[in-house]
Amino acid sequence: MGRGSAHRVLIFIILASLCALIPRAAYPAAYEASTLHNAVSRSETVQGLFEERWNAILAGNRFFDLYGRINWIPDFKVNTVTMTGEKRTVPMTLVRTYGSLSLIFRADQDSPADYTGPADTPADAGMPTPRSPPARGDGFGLGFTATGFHYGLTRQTTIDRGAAGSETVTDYKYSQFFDDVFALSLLYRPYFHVHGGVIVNNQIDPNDDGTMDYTNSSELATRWFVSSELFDFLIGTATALGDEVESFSMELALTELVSLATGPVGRSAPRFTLIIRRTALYNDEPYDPVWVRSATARDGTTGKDVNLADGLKERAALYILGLLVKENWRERWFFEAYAEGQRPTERLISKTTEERIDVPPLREARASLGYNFFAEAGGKLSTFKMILSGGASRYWDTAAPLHRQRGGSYVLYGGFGSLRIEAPWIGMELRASYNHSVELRRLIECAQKAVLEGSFFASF
Amino acid sequence: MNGRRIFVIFTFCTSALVFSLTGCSYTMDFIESAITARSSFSIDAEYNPATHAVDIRWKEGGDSGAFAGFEIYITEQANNEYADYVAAAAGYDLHSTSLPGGLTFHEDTSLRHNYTRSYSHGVNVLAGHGNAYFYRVGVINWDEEDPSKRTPANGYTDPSTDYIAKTNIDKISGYVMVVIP
Repeated sequence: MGRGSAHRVLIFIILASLCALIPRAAYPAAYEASTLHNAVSRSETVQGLFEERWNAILAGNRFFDLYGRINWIPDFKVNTVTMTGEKRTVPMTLVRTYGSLSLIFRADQDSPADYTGPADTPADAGMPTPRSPPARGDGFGLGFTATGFHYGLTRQTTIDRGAAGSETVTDYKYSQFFDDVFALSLLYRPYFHVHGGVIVNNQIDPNDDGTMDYTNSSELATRWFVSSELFDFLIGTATALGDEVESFSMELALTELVSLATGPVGRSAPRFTLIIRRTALYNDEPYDPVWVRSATARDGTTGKDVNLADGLKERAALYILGLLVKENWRERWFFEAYAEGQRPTERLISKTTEERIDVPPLREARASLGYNFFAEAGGKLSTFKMILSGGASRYWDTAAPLHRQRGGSYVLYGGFGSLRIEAPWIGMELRASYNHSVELRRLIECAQKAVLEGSFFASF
Repeated sequence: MNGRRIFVIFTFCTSALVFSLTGCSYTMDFIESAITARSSFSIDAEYNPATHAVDIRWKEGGDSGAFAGFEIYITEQANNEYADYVAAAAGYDLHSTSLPGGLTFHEDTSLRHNYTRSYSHGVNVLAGHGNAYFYRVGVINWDEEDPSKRTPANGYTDPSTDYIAKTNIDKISGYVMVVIP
């Protein structure tokens, strides 16, 4: 079997494996918005962050990657009943922290001196002669990644120490969520790579006094996930709880696909990616902002409420079709735009008005532009980068009216600004956003709230 | 297989094992909680009608080298779980003035010692209203954690003034509600 035939067989096997998952897609008991208590949505978020990090690892052919991110949403108002029995609206801080460690072992790490090739002269016969090793990053590799995402509410208090000044301290408030990914990765660059592993979702309730014991788990679940990329143009991802696939998506990198026929595409050529996703978002759960099909159950008599029996709950999925465009112009300008269409499989009824929601075809649209102050002439890869970015977005969500602080529209307009500094092996980023779709997608509860974020990485 | 490859494989397996036994989410939470001074230990407190005092007990101690003392905090307002706190007692006089209900600050030398695990806070002036107050305990460290460097040459000349100017809260307890009848 020739090399080309072997590649075609490999492609068929992988595509067949991915397609085999589609008919078994089941409806998760989850809703994308109101994500604080939604383990499926949180799993998708941590998995997305896992893939985001691996994209950076593969792009830079890294062997080690350490990444951390802390995200604060201050002034997160919570209606609560105090220990003295008083109803009060208390400003808290929603804290989200993310950490990742990846170790990659490549099988072809011999130094150039270890390679031998045909002797240049008879006198050199039998002597090791250096020849060009494979391009850096090609060949087999094995990776291990531990990724974790924590979020929960905290409450800040000031302590007046008299003449010694004031200091602030914080307490845990309400349930804390810890989602961890442990994954093994098999690489065979540049042909494919596969990630597989578990997502552990842990919910921990803090003590009444604001402290927390990591061993005091109130809810623990384990999900499996698999993600694969083929020839840099086809990415398939699936997450399963037990034997039910909860989420499934496919991405088709159109530019890379075209390059298979036309040859390598220059770095400055725009990258187009088509994204197809099917997510079962609407399940008549208490935390869902909508009812599926009707506010009355299928028996025709039972009105739907928070106590609706599982047997009467109806389900609906959301199909999403998105197009992502990225442009890197000479390592100086970075442009990105994304638009996403949607179509639910059933009528959606607002729990607030009990009227049908007119779901528009456009769910999300965003664009951003970044400028690298340290770009080198001629578009060469720069050792140091300082990228100032900004962007705007429009996002539609059925839960937006519930979580926004002003108005009742389903649409939220927002934006972000960020500064990213990269040096050899290390980097950091500061980011501030308001109503930006990337944050709203992860947590609709941050609607009309400022989000502050700091991150760092060490990668080589 | 050369030695370099053996070392790489060993490092890979060891690191993978270590991180598989923990989770990055907990590590990042620990880092963030250290940055924002998260409450880290629990205390007990209850009103003692015989002494008209609130008896407070804890099990947490400080780092022996950096330890400067314990401080007792009380909410500035009655019946408010989310009120700010003010120092009610410490090993040195903090000159606290915003104490609730006519309370005065207590300087108690027992709070200077790392072996202290209880304190009785006199609240006679607060009695008779049935109000609830919330208490915390702080473990205080010297800014200079190395005892050998806390010298006059480095500005450490008088413990009472140094305590005010050169200490910080190292650990803070959770809060406990005490109803003072």
